[in-house]
Order: sequence, then C-alpha cells, then structure tokens
Amino acid sequence: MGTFTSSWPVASGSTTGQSTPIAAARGARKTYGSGEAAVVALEDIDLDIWPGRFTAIMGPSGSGKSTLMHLLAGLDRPTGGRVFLDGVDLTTLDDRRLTRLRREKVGFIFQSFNLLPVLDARDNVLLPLSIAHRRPDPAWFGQLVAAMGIADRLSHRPAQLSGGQQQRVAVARALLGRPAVVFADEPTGNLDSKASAQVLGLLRQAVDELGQTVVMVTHDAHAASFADRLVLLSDGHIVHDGAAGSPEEILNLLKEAC
Amino acid sequence: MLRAMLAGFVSRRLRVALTASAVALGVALMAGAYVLTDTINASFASIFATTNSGIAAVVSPRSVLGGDNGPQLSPITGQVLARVRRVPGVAEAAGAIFGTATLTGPSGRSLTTFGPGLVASALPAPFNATVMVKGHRPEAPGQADLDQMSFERDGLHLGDVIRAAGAGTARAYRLVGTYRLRTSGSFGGTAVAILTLPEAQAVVGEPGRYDEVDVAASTGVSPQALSERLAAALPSDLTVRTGRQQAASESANAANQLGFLRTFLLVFAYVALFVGAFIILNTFSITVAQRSRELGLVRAMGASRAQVLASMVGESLLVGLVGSATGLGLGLLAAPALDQLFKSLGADLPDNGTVLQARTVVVSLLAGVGITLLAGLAPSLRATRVPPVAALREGAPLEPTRWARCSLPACLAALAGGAALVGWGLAGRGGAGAVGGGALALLIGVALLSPRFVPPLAYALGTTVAWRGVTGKMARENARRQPGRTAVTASALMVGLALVTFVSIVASSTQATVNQVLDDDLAGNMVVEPSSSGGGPGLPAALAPALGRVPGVATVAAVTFSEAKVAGLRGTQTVTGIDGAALARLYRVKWVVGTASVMAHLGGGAAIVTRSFASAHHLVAGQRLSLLTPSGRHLVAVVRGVVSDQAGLLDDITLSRGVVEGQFSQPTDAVDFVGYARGATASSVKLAVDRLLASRFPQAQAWTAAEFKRHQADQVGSLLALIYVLLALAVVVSLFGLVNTLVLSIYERSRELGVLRAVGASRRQVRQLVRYEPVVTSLIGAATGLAVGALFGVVMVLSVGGSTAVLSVPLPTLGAMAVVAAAAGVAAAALPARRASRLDILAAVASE
Repeated sequence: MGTFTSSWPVASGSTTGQSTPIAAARGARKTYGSGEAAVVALEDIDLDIWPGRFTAIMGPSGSGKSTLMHLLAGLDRPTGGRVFLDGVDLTTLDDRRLTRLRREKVGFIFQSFNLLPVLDARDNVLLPLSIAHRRPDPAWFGQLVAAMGIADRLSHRPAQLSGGQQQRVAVARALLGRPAVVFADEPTGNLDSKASAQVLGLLRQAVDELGQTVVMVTHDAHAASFADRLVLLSDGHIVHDGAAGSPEEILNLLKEAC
Repeated sequence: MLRAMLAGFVSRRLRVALTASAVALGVALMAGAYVLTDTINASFASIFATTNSGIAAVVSPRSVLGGDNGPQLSPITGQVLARVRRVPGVAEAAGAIFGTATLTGPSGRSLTTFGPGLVASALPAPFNATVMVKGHRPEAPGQADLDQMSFERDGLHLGDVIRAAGAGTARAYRLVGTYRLRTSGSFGGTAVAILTLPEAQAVVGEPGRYDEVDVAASTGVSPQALSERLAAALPSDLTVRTGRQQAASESANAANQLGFLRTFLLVFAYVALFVGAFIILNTFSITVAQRSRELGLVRAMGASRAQVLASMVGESLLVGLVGSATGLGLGLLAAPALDQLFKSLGADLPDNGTVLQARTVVVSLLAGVGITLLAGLAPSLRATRVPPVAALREGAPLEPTRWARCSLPACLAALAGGAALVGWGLAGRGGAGAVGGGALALLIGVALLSPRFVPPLAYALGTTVAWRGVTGKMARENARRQPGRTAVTASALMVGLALVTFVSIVASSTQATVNQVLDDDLAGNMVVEPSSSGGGPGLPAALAPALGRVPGVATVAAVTFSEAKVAGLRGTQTVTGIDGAALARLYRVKWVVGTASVMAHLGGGAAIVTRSFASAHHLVAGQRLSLLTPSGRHLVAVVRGVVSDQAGLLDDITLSRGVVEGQFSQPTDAVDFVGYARGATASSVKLAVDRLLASRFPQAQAWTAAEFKRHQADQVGSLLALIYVLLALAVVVSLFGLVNTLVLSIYERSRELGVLRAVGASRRQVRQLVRYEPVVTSLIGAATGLAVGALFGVVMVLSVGGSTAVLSVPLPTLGAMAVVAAAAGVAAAALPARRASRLDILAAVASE
C-alpha cells in the first residue's frame, strides 16, 4: 500500500485558514412528524468542524448522530437553525444549488460502500467528476488509486472486489475531487478488523498528509480512536466535545454519557 | 395468507394497474370485435326478419356445387312459377327480383350506399315489407321508388331521373316515390331502387326469370308443410325455405360476409394479448425477485410451498380479472369507435344499438384471465422455490430456474418447430393455421433466445446513448444488467414491430410485383373493372363489343370468373373464362407446357391449368377433366397447356369465355383488357372510353396502366393504415411493459440513484439516466423486431410469390419505425424518470 506524500496540493478546505470552520451548525434542529407524534432528533446543535481535522461523531442508536451528519453534508434540511458549508448557508439553497454544492464540496463514504454495480472500479472512482463534467487530473488519479492499493483492480466490477477493496474504491471516489469535507457514515461497519484498520489508516493519512477534513459517524470506539476530535451525542444533544483519545477512554466516555 | 395477498395487492396499486392494462387492451379489442360484429349482425337480422315477415315459403336457386350462391343466371322461369302456383296449399305466389346494380343520380355520380346498390321488383301486398313515405309505387316501365334514407342522403327530389346499370346498359327511371322498411328504416344503408317486375328483370339481365318466388299459404297450411310440398314438387336445382328459415339464412349469409371483419379484429386482439403475456411474465418475475425476502419470511414462518403458490396464482387471477373486466368495459366503449374507424375508411355500417352477448363476456374474461394465469405460472412456481433463509439475507439472488438451464434446447426446438410449421403451412399443407402457429413458435423461440444476444446487442445499441457521458453509459449497463428482464421487455415490443415489418414488406412487395406485372404483362394497356368493389354488378357482356368500337381501341379481351367441381378432386376449383385470341395479344404468361398459340386458339373443349394446380393434382397435357358447372351441366375439357401466371389472372382452370358464359350461367365479365391501336394515345382513348362508360355503363370503370397502379397503391395503403392502427395497440401494450419494468427497476435501484444524487448528480441527470435505459431496451426490441419481421416477410414473399415475386423493402417506413420505437422508449420513461428524480436521497442511502 502506498502513502500520501506531502508534496501534493492540499485540499481546498484547508486554504480557508485555521480560524474559520469549514462546516458549522448554528442552533440546528431536526424534528420528524408534527404535533403529538413529533420526534425531536436534534435540538439546537451548535457545532464547528475545523479544516484539516478528523472528527468522529458518536452516540447510541437514535442519538441523532446520523441526522447531524446528513444536515452538515446537505443531504437533509434542518427544521430550524442554520447549517453552513464552506461559508455557504445551506438552508438558503434550492435543490439545484445544493446539488452543485455537494458535487463540488463534499465527498461521501458509506457503510455499505454504495458503489454502482454496473460501473467498474475506475468509473466508480471517477463518477463524481463525470457527473460534474470535470476532467480528472491523471497524475492525481494515479497516485490516489496507488495509495488506495486498487491500481490493479480498476477494471473490476464491485461484485468482483472484496469488502475492503470496495471501501477503498469508495474512499478514492470521495477524495478524488479534493472536497472541502469528506463525510464517512459508519465506514467500517461492514468490514472485518483488518480491512477496517486499512480504511481508517487511509483516512488518517488523508488528514495528516493532505490536510483533508474528515467527519466520521461511527459507534465503534476503535474506529473513533483514529480521529483527532470526538463529538458525543445523546438524545439530540452534544454531551461531549473533545480530543478523541484511546479506545478505552472513548468507551468510558460512552458509558458516562449514556 | 389471503389477507396478506390482498393487502399486498392494494399496496402495489400502480404495479397492478400497469400489469392489468397489458391484459385490458387485448381484451378490449377482443370484446370490441365481438360487440361490433354482433351489433351489425343483429341489425341485419332485424332487416331480414322484416323483409321475410309476410312470406310463408321462399323458392330460390341452389348451387349444385354446394355453395351458398346459386348460378348467376337464375333457373326460375315463368314455368317454375306456374308450377309453384299449382301446388296445393299455395294461396298466392309472386316471382321477385333482388339483384345488384350501380345506381346513379341526376349528376351521373353513383348514389351513396353501404355495399353494392340493389334493384328490386315491386311485390304484391302480402309480400311487401315496405311502406311508402312519399309518392306512389312504380306503375309504368320508366318509374322507380328509392329508399327514403338514400333519397335524403343524396339530396334527391321526386321527378329526378336516376339510372340503374346491372347486367346490361344503364336504364333511366323517374323517381315517383320513396319508401322505408316497415320496422327499421333502411336496408342497413344500402341504396335499393324498386322497379316494376319486367324492368327489374331487364336490369339484372334475367328477362322472364325470377331470383326467388315468395309464397303465401292458404289458411290451415303451416309454412313447414307448405315448404315440404313445394320441395317435393320442384326440381333439385331449387331450394325451398320457410320465411323464417329464409330470414335466418340471409342473416347467416350477411354474418358470414362479416366474418372476415371479426377474424381480422380478433387476430389483432390475440396479438395484443400475446404481447401482454410477455409483460405479465416480466412483471411477475421481477416482483418475485424483489419480494424474495418477504417470500422467505412467510416460508420461515411456516407457509408451505403450496400456500405460496396459491397466493401467487391468486394474485395473477386477480390481475387477470381486473384487466379483463376493464378490457370488457373498454371493449363496449371501443365498439362504436371501431365502427367509426371502419366508416372513416369507406364503410358505412348500420347501427341499431349495441349488442352484448353472454358469449362476449365469457370469452373475453376467459381469454384475459387465462393468459394472465398462464404467463404468471412460471414466476409463481419460481416463488415457491424461494428458501426460508432468503428472509435473512438482503438481496439474496434467486438460484437460476430449471428453465434457464434448458432454455437453449427449448428455444432451438421452438425455432426449429416454428420454422417447420411455417414451411409446412406455406407449402400449402397446413394452411393459415400452421403458418400462424409456426410464426408464434418462432417468435417465442426468438424471445427465449434473446437473453443470450441482449448483452452484446445492448452494448452495440447502447453506444447511441453512451456518448452522453456517465449517465448514458450507466443506462447502457443497466440494460445489460439483467438480460432476461431486458429481453422480455424488448420482446414485447419485438412482436409488434416484427408484425408491422412483416406486413409492410409483404404489402410493398405485393405492390411492386403488381407493378412489375402491369409493366411486363400488360404493357401500356387499359383495364376496365366493375366500379363498385366487392359484390356489385359485373361487366355486361355488351361492354366488350362497345369498347371495341371506341376509336383508338384495337383489341378487347373480356375475362370472367366462375367455379367448377372436377371429378376425382375434392372441393371446388376456380375457373377463368377468356377470349383466348384477344388475351394472347394483351397478356403474357410463362408457359410450362405448351405455347402462346394454345391460348390464342383456345377452343370449346380445351383447358389451360396453372402450374401449382397441375403439380398438386399430377395433371399432364392431354389429360381429360370432367367438370360440373354451377348450373349443373357436365362437360369435358382437355388440358392443352400449363402456365405460371404471376398476376394470378388465370385460375386453376382456364376455359374459353364462350363456354363459361353458356355452360356456367355466368353472363357478366369480371375485367376487360383494352389494347390501344397503333398511333392511339392512352389519354385520348381513355377520354373516349370514359365518355362511353359514363353514358351507358356506369357499373364499369376504366384505368390506364398508370392509374391502375396508383389505384392499387391506394387500396394497399388504406388497408395498411388500418393494420398499422391495430398493430399500434400491440405497441402500446408493450409500452406499458416498458413503463412497468422501469418502475420496478427503479424501485430496486433506489439506493444507487440515491448515491448518484448524494455525490452530486442533478435531478436532470437522474432523469436522463432513467430515460436512456428504455431507449436502449426499445432499440433492442426494434432491432430484433425489424430483423425477425424482415426475415418472415422475405421468406413469405419468396415462397408464396415464387421466382417472379418482386421483393421490396420499404426502408423509409422501417427506419421510421425504429425512430418511433426509440421515441416510445423516451415516452415510456417520462413517468418513471420523474419518480426517480424525486427520490428521497436520505431514504435511499441512509444506513440500515
């Protein structure tokens, strides 16, 4: 497996400087349903995601961690409050602008990989750029797939790849466009421990060597220990926000919080 | 289980509606065909019941050959009438004329009529079924009555002069009255002029003869008894029926003539149902694949295979019932629309209220439900093989069915069997049934085979959209993804397009062949035909000599048709009567045995036979044929020549026209060929001939070679238009299939579409992606349909037409069809694409 080298241009997100958050929630609320049946998923969340950092969001089932990520990524709209991505207030955008913003600023990594089965690994990696009619930088593409260890698998369809390989294709897909933020939703949920370690190591490297901003939702303490910062949610509230620490420390935090 | 099924049924409303529509359209056409023809038959039955109401018994000629129609010249003379009057129990008897004639108005143009115009003799009181509306009955030779409907339709006035042209030159009559039938208004839209008896006899060319004798019974004598007495007293070339039997016989005759219409419509109904079967098969297959988890769950909870099967079959039954009932309703609505369609193409059908018979309901429901059950059976059986563990696995692929394994031999067997059947049918052994059955087997064979050639074909055709970037490429790959699904969806379209292609190639080739024949065999000559197509009066024998006297005409060859029974052969054979010497100069045939001089010197005892007739019955030159004519005469003809006639003018047996006129009682001709004198121009001769026909023979119409070609092209064109409209229904059904498959596929791929949206695909891009896939699918259907249809068409043209057939492939039409198919794909995708682009991204991508 290759490694990133610091000679590469850094991701666009980090150019805005350390003092400005790359993504932020201000009093963000999310309720489902209305009246008596209303369920509050998030309540008045204030959160800043700093560029060039690896943030883990944790919490028990139903704590609102996935909802928070969906709001930050522009996949969903808050019921109240505001959400900013790279300085743009997402709540003011229509579907077309929001789509364009996602296309340009956000990378996604999903638990179930979500590669398109009809496209081979190469086309899957290139998918976001193809959709945006953007031409990939061949050198960057070559280095990326080499770093992901999938250079010799590019003509394979997802069905012909192992879970770990599929997720590394997905990571390459998320990183290729140099997005402001990469959102990873339980990226290791469907992987064995070895493959998990590989994927998490790659995300860590992306942050360290490229200055890539990564936000990861997980309920695995080991996975969260790869992050710089841990945000802990419970019942729609942030109950902890601090350095991630070791898996044991994270487990203790989780026990305290819930 | 039942409740679960019903709940599922309700929750999948859209799918059920789309699937049921596939059945409904075919059933609608089927029900419509029955309702339309039943309705028309019923109105004719009421007309004939009226015209025969005052009649106890009817004496009419019988064909000794066993057909419905007697010889053209009636054997009923005044002597026969006198004999009828002498039979005990006969209170009154009247000879009547009821024959075809071209009726023209004061302007010289033919009166509007449904079917050929008629002349009838005025009948005495007990037999008269008409009542006067205006004026009085014809009392003098120059007077006529006309039915009120025709009178109004053509804007006539009492005192106007109309002409009637039957077996002779046109005769003029002054209108002195109008009438209507006692119960219904008109003769179903047919123009009928009533003349005095001698005049009617003169018009139809039967002076001193009658088409039938109407008989009234003395009190106390039943119609049945009277008929028996009459039959015993009269010769065997006459038939006697009671008034009621006569009405039934006339109705049956009319229904028979309408039978082609029913068959014609039903063929298209079956085509639509056949296409619908593909769609049902596909929908159920996809449903089973998508519900494997649910099916596994019910199995895990203890449901038996039989219960799963019962619930699946129950679902097909419900779909079939919903579809058939909808179709039946649509059919009732469609019957008047079909009526309009036929009217717009030149027919004018009588309409006395819609008739819905129990048979229509039963047959339509049976056909619709039956085809649904049949098509749903394979997927239902497949559902029973879903293992309980499928409940625990997400998207567990179904193991391939036994079908998949045996499909190659099966489809090859279907192809080989179909080809053999078609060959057998075309060779003249199995008839149309064998050809149709074979074609069906071939289509099924191609459909079974298609999953094998869909992936490469999809790849090739998919390049038409792949240039649109990643969405086009994905659409292409989606079409290749489940070759079986794409294949069945495309097959539905294939069937319709194959038929359209087949029909257009056969029609265009037929026309090209006719043109070739006109150029080759009839170079530059004129054709004179009866002006009313189908059942009208023939050409008077007096026409040919009159044409011969027109300046610029060198030769006239009259041709007549009849039939005969040949001793030792089954059924009846068609007979052509020709003026050998004249025709040999105007018309060329290929001689297999003999030379053109055989035709030029065709005498009374000589016959020419066609090659196909000769080879079917092992006839050789010099062989004697014992013939029985429709008027019951026996004669012997010796085979002098064998020909191959690409235009089909010469029937099985060709005899001298003098023989056919005399011995076959066939006084009128079917067509006259006119050859120009040296130096005469077609246009000047045509002008003179037209003047002659207009003044004396309005029942005839002349065409120069160029006009005749155009006329033929027009006729083929309007028939094609009708066929295209009806086949369009099959294409519409296959569109429902496209939509249905697409809706189901999108449902299956919602996660993928969600991912696309998440990584930045716009709604427009998702719509494009969804839209391109059916374009690829419909192009596959179009390509296979065009290929299969072209193959069928070429084989048909070459095998039926033989070496003389001209093959013509209407490339612009076929190209247009491919474009229409692709456009249909886009249209089919509109709704699913909208749905796909409105997909909730979160619901699609959120982790479970």
